[in-house]
Amino acid sequence: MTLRERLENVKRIFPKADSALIAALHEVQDEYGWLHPDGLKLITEVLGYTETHIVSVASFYHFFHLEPTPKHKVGICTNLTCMQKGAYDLLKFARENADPKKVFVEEVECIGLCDHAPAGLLNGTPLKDLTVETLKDILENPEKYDEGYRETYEDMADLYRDG
Amino acid sequence: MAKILLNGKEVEFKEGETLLDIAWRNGEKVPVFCYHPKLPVWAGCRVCLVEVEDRRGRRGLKPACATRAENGMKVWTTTEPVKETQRSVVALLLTNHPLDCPICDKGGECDLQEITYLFGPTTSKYTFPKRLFPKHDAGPYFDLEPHRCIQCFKCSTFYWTIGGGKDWSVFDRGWYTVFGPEKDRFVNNEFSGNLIEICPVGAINGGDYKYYTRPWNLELVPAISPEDSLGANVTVEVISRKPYTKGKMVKGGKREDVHKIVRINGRENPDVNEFWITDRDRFSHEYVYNHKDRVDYPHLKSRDGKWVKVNWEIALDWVAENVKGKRVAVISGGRGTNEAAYAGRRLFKEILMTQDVDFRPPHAAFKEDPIRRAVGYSASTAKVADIDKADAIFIFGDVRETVPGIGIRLVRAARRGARIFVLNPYRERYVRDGWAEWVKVPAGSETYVTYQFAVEDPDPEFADVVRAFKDAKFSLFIFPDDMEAEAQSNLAHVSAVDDRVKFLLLRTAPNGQGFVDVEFTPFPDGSTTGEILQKAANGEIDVLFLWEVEPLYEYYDRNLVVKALENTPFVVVMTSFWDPSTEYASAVLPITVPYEEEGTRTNLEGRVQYGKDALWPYEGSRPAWWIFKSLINRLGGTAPWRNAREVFDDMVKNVLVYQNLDFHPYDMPYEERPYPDYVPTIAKLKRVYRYPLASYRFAVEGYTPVKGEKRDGLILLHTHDIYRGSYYAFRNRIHKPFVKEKTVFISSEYAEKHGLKDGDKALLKIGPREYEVAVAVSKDVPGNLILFRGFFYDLPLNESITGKITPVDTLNPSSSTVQS
Repeated sequence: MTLRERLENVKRIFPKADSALIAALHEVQDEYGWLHPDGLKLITEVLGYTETHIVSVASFYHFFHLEPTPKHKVGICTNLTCMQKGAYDLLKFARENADPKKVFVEEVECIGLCDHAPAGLLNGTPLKDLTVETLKDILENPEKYDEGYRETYEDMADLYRDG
Repeated sequence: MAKILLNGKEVEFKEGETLLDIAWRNGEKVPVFCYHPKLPVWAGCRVCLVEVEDRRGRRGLKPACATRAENGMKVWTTTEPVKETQRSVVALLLTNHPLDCPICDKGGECDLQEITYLFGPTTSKYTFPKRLFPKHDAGPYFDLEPHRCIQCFKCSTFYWTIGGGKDWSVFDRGWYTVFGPEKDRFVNNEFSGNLIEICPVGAINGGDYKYYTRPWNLELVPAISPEDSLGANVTVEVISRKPYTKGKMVKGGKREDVHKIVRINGRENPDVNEFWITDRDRFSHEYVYNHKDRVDYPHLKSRDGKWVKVNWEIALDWVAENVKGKRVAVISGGRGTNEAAYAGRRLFKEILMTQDVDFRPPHAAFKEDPIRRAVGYSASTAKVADIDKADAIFIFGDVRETVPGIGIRLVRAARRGARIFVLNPYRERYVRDGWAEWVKVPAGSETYVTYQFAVEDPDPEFADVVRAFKDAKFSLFIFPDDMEAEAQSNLAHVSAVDDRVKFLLLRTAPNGQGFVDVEFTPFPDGSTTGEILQKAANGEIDVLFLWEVEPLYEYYDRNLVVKALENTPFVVVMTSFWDPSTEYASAVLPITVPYEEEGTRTNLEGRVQYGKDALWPYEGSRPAWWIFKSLINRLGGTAPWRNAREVFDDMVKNVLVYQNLDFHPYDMPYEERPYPDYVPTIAKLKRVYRYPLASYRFAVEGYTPVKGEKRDGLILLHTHDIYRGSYYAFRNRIHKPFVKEKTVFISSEYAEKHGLKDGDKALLKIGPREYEVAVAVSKDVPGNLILFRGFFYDLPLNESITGKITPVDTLNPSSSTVQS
């Protein structure tokens, strides 16, 4: 599906433009890796919002990137359990060793994988029991680890149907 | 009657009142930042928290601005928890607010300053480094200082809900929250200037007021905006109204401040403009004190063609001598006060016995008044406030460019769920921003379209809009008075035969309604503007008066104007500015600009409003009524008026529609609003002026609607421009970035067909003539339309073009042989 078709799909699922906006932003970020102006322009056409409004909403959220960012994003949890298991060391390692053109390293809050701490996320795919070795491999070959897990809006459609 | 216990005192309240309303009405001090009486309640600043105990005994802090009073509530505004909250809220706001009050323009009228002083802590334990933002150029009207922002969200709330704009927002979050337009873009909304007024701190400053003075140095003068026929109530702020006493300057007065308007702010009038004024009203004041364009003393032309500066006695004697017993005609711009129009009517119609008196531009100067023809009297039947009641609103033409001030009510109506239709050849602002539905009316087919509202079986193309009209409980027509005459008559007729329909006639002349009321019109048998020019060009007129009008800018047929001025032996130009038509004059009489004279103006709904003089007249200029009075006295009439008030009193006796006025506008009736004195920006608006309407009677005569014809083919539409279309606004340099160059707007399909690109130069061919213009490709323009905006001097239309709309042969890419 092209981006426009995906945005149309989002619009179909969330009839209210207010509800559709965040999902549409996710679609654009999936497509380009960041909120590319071309993508934002498509949103303005499909949802009817002005670019100012879209940027205003996107800038509120930490995980939307308004600056050019690579497609693969490695998030490392730094909450209590992961921190005790050395998450900050991993984060430091990742920040020092990642190729900024290939992988974007960010800090995430608890992702509910405390039993596999230190844990992380690669584009939504959970990374469990991280060590320096596995992390190094992930940073070098992120495609290999990306299982393509995406949130589907179809599940949520019923929740939002009535607006 | 429901009651609450406020600080131990029993007080009554009406259903739906908030705790803040009740507290303020009873003189309790509750501070606010994000609250404004006309904005939706945001309840974001938390400084208005009060202690509340409901009937079940639950006690806690609640925001007074967002809490509705309930019977039996107990409310305390001065207990220790409340005070503690106020202190901590202010302390937290100040952690990030720079202490640059000495250089901040808001100093002296800053809510944060005042509330910190009255409710804030004396010391603070928060000593963090403060945030900084890069400088953002938001256009000529603004000086943004985002680091002073306290995140009250008043600006964005106003911008979305009242101004109806879409290009201002709040970005990022937490400490780094920053408001404004998107990076590197200018704010482009006709109400954006109000942000300066409602900002509680100095985060949004006026571009004109920047670093000039302090609010306590200013004298506030209530006046009426002369920019358009809405007659927005404004406060003109000057250093001193009367800088001289007995020839000496007041103590501390500076030479450059003597004749200077520092800024213009809104003034509350709930029936007209509420609090809000447009940018055109707010920022157009430079023309008053930009003295290089102003005429200082009367000038007469000597035999060798040189200007001679004379005093008023000589000038008036000379003019009186030359008009006696001659064929006189007068053209006005419809911009003076009612008093001046009345005095002028007395002079021309009763002393000089001429019927050739008109104030309308030739394309709108109809031989018979189109509204009078259908409903008996030429005036709107609706009030501006009726927009708030209508279910369906039908707008003809481009409101944003003619009377932008009614836009606040249109946006509100759209948000309320009323259906708004814009019947216009191109998509205008309210359609573009999603507030209205667009009904494409081919240019020149207005009569045909308006006829559909009058018949049972409309053209299927317009069936939807007509059905919406028939279904509505109360619908409103809004149309300009320079639309096709038959179209105006049709709409007026439709509203006259149906009680559920009213219409609002947008006068394109700022005081057009007043000029009609005092009969400064050629009816019944005088010559209209077009005919006067034609007669003058044929040498059938001896004396031509031009009063506050620049025909060489404003009229389409520039060649005819030049011919008329050249063939008239004695041209008297009454103007404030050295405009091109003064070249053809025998006498130039300097008159005051609107903010220099007191007087009344009648707005488009028939509201007689009084404006005070904010400044002394510049040098030797005089109010127009004084000039007419002096000429009447010199020509054998009697005009005993000593001031504008006496002219008004005389006018009320002699003008039919003003005889029923049950008030005297000079004694401005007002109500006090229960705002506390210590919140400065709201206290400034404390007086609510309510000018009642003049009462008109309407009689329906036997008028039948005219069908008209539907036009198609390529059409050049010459339409209004908000800044360039105004006689005063275009003289202000501050509007310059928004004044477009000599540009035509075309559709993308037309551009593709003819190989044109955005920004190209092109040749506009009208009949045998060719003009070089810049091209802007716009998606708002349909395929068969070429749009041109603004005063007409930019497009050198040197030969006669009848009417407003001209068929165009072609618009081709410019060839190198033609140089303009």
